[in-house]
Amino acid sequence: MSYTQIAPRSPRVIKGENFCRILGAKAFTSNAQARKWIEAIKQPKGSEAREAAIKHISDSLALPNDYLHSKLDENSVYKAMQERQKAGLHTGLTHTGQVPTVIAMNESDGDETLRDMEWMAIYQMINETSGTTVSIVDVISLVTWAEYELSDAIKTSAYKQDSASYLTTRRFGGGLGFHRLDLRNPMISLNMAVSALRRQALDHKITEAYVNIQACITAAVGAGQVTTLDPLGLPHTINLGRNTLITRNANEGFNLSLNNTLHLYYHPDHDDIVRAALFGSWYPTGAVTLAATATPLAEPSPNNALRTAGPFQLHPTFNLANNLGTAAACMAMVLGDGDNFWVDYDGLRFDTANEPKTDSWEVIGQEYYNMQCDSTQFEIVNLA
Amino acid sequence: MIIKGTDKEKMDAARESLRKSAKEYKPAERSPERMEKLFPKKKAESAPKKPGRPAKAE
Repeated sequence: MSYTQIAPRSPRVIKGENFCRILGAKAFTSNAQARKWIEAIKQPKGSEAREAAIKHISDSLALPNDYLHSKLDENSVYKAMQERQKAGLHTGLTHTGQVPTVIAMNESDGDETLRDMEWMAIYQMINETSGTTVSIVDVISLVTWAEYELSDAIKTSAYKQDSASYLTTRRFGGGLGFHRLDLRNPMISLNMAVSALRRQALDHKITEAYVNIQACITAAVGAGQVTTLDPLGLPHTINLGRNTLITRNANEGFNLSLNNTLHLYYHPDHDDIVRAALFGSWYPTGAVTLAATATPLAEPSPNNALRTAGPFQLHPTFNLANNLGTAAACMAMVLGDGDNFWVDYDGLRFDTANEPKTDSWEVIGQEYYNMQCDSTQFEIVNLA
Repeated sequence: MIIKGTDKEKMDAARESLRKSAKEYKPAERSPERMEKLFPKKKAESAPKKPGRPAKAE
């Protein structure tokens, strides 16, 4: 007979029905019988049928209950289960030859609201799997295009290595080891480690991306790239911000026009306001809020409404603060691509190894990437 | 200003800023004054006349 460890991390996952099922306890053998017992329990106190039903159910639950409250050790539970099986009382899991271990593996999945892919929209994604460094150089501005006389030599300029900016690797990783004896537990597998590492790697990547974006927001605010709220309202403010952003980046070789898609990063707190500014031709009145309104909103003539120009992509994200770390509620208007690069040097890779020093199997995950963002491509638009 | 993931100082400052602003989170204000500021009401009389078919002569 073999034993596995009993490690219930949280009583709530092994209480009640699940636990009975695990230990093979059968309070009810069929739905019809369950209904019968439940009807009996509803009888007045002291009635024979009611007492019989309560006794049956409490007998059925006694073993798991005693075990749950540590009155029995696992050996006793195992023996009791064998006895009950012999007596035809249980046909549960005893054929496995061992008491199954109950472990709550994934009690927490982290904060899902902090997990999104919105950050990807502004980076140029590059796969550099053959090297360890990416050089970024503005080749377009090296060339001077001019008119020449028939006999004149055309001027050429030379690419210089030191004019390039370099983006090197960053390495991220994590690992999880299982003691060899723990792996005897049929409910533990190395695959658990793989999924846990994958989840943590993703969370970390998202955090790094938003940290990079936040760093640019801070730099943009520091450089005074802020469009304050115009007296004509938010739609006009957004247009002013767009013009400032596009003209500031106009000589970078990004092929800019009014029709370039701009990316709006903001906390979901402002989602209604931003959407109303972009898509609405109506205004809130009095104490009516945009979020939830019971009163119809005043709808002026469409000819009379200010509209925003050009396309926007909206990226509400819980990963940024509702004031973006500044003093006032605001959003970041970002010109995508350009000098924003995300380089994957080596994708997420897993290795497993036996570690004799700790008598464990370890699963190691690691990946290599780096990113850069240009704060010149950020304009902060105030929402207050 | 280009900020790389390897610019430890700037990245750490941003990390700290994110951490701090998450701690100090408070929902955005929704006062009528702010709404009026964001979306000023248009005066009806200032609306230009809609283009369309001219009124029929009596």
